[in-house]
Amino acid sequence: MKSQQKFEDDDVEILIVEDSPTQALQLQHVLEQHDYYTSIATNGREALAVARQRKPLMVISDILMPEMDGYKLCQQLKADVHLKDVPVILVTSLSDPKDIVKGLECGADNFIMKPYDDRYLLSRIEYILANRELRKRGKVALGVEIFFAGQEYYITSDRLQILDLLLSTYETAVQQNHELIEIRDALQKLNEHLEEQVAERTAALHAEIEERKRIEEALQKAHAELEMRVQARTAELAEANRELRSEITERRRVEVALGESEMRLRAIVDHAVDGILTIDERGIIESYNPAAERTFGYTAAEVIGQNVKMLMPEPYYSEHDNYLRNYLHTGQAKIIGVGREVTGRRKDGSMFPLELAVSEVRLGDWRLFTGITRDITQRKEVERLKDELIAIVSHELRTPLASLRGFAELMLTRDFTPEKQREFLTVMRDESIRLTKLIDAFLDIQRMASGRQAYNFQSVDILPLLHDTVALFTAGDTQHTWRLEMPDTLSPVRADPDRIRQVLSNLLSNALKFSPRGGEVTVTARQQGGYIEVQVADQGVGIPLEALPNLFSKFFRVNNPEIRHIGGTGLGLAVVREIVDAHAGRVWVQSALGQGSTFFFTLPVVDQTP
Amino acid sequence: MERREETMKTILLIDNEAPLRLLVATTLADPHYRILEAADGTAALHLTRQERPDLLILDWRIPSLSGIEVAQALRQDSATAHIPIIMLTAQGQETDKAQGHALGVHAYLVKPFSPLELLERVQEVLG
Repeated sequence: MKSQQKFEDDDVEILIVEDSPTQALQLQHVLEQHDYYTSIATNGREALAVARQRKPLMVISDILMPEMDGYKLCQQLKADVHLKDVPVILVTSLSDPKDIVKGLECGADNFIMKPYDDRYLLSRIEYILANRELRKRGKVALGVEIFFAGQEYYITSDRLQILDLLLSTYETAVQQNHELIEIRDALQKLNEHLEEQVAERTAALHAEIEERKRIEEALQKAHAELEMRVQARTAELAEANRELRSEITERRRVEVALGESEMRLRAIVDHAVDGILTIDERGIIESYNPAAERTFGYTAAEVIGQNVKMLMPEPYYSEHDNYLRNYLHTGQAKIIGVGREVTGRRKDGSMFPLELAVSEVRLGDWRLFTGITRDITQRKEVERLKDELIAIVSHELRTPLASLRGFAELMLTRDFTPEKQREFLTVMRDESIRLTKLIDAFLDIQRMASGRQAYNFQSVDILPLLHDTVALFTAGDTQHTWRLEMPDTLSPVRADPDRIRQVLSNLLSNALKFSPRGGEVTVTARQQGGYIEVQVADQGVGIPLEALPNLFSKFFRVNNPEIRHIGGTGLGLAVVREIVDAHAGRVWVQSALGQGSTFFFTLPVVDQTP
Repeated sequence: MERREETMKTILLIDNEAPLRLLVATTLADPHYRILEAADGTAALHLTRQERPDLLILDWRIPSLSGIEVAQALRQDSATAHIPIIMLTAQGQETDKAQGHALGVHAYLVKPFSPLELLERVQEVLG
């Protein structure tokens, strides 16, 4: 504990009671700068012990301390006979009016406010020290009871002491007020500055707010616009969606309808008798129906995607591309829109007459060409045979007519003996009969061809009919050997005898015609079940295999150089089949080229069960 | 008699119809004509080569070889190429006639024909 002599004649020592070392040292530093001796105690009890050991000039004590607070210390000091004159300064915050009362109660001499101003503290210390002697005198103890803030206090301080305390309190208040004014000024300044700053800041904020508002408005506007556009677009999309849906529904319906329609059309095309094919503008085949497969011999798979010219022989094969190009360019058509007879080429290279009708289908910008084809080989053949028939018929008619006219003219211009005249007239009569028969035969053929033949069915014994008919042919024939193989009796057949004679005549006539080098002609008749079967066999030229399927067709004649000058109507076998069919019989042929043919026909026997 | 034999012209008549042959033979019944007859094409060729007739009266539709084929065969043989031919046929169409004329036939008569006209044509050829 250091000490410094200030007043050399007296012990002037200030005891600092403070539990906070920082505050204690700070106060000690201030006091020692002004040449006071100081001691430090950290609480009331310690301070009391120090004070009793060596009486200090003054005690400056904090109030709130451990073990013994400032009030208690003050009270103990004032109660001590040796120490009761030592002035006590309480360091207080004066936050509560009760502090003052408590200070009075404990007999404190003075207050200083925390935090204290150095100058103020020193002036207070000097004042107390100056009045120390004064205070020693005229001390009148006086007890006063006061009631303050709901509590009773007993104050024993003397008047001076109370006055000091109150003055110090007032002084403190003034000083505090002064400080408050300073603080207020400072605050005002600060406030002004703050206000400036606030104004600035406010202005800045206003600007910022304005800017933000502007941006927000812009954003809102943009947002609203966007919203509007989204709504519009959404509405558009919804509309489009609805349209699409209805379109899809419609399409489905159309698709189903189209599917059905296409199936129907396909069935029609597939079952058409005519070949139907379509090509594109380049001539590439796009479709090809089963009838076309039959006509050309190519399957659909072999031709689809190929150029249609493959179905044409030269010169059409080479010309077709040019023709098509030319048509697309000039619109000048040779075939389109009209039916025409052209020549087709089959897969096997063979050519055949073909009726072709081409139509054009426009699908938007591109065009399809549909060709309807019909193999007219048969029809052409029939036409050819008809022409030939006309030639034959005219020939057959002209020959007897030549005799009639010729002999008549000779007899009119020359003189002949009665014998010669008779001879010529006989020829003329016979040729007239022949002419009549020819005309009848021709009419028969016509009737047969038109299906208007009338039959007179009856029970017929076929044996005499066969013998009689064969006899007509054997009479003038010296080239052939005739054989008849028949039983003595046969069951009667149901037949029209005149028609059966015609059948036999045609078959026998053919047998002779087609065996020009002679040979054997055999006529056989026998019963086979419920039928009588008749055979006419020759050893002639025979029939080529390919001709057999058409042999019984109207106007069909076998194409064979060896026999092409042999006359005939081309209707003989057709007539045979018509008649046999009408009898519910059957007709067929067995033949080998160069070895001869055998024709068979059957007639039903008359049902003899009653 | 021998002289007459020498000046006698031979006519080969080819037709498969007997009444026609009788008619033509009667029409041409002249002491100056010798008439030979054939009923088919093969016989016609055979007789022509053998007898060297002065004239052929030829039908078209005859068995074995047609009249046209007979004519063609004769034209190709130098020994017979010059023999005049009169076609006497029922083939009366223009195309038939053209075919006949193309073979250089002297006359083309269509049945039924006038015997007097036939006689005129024969006399034109044989003088």
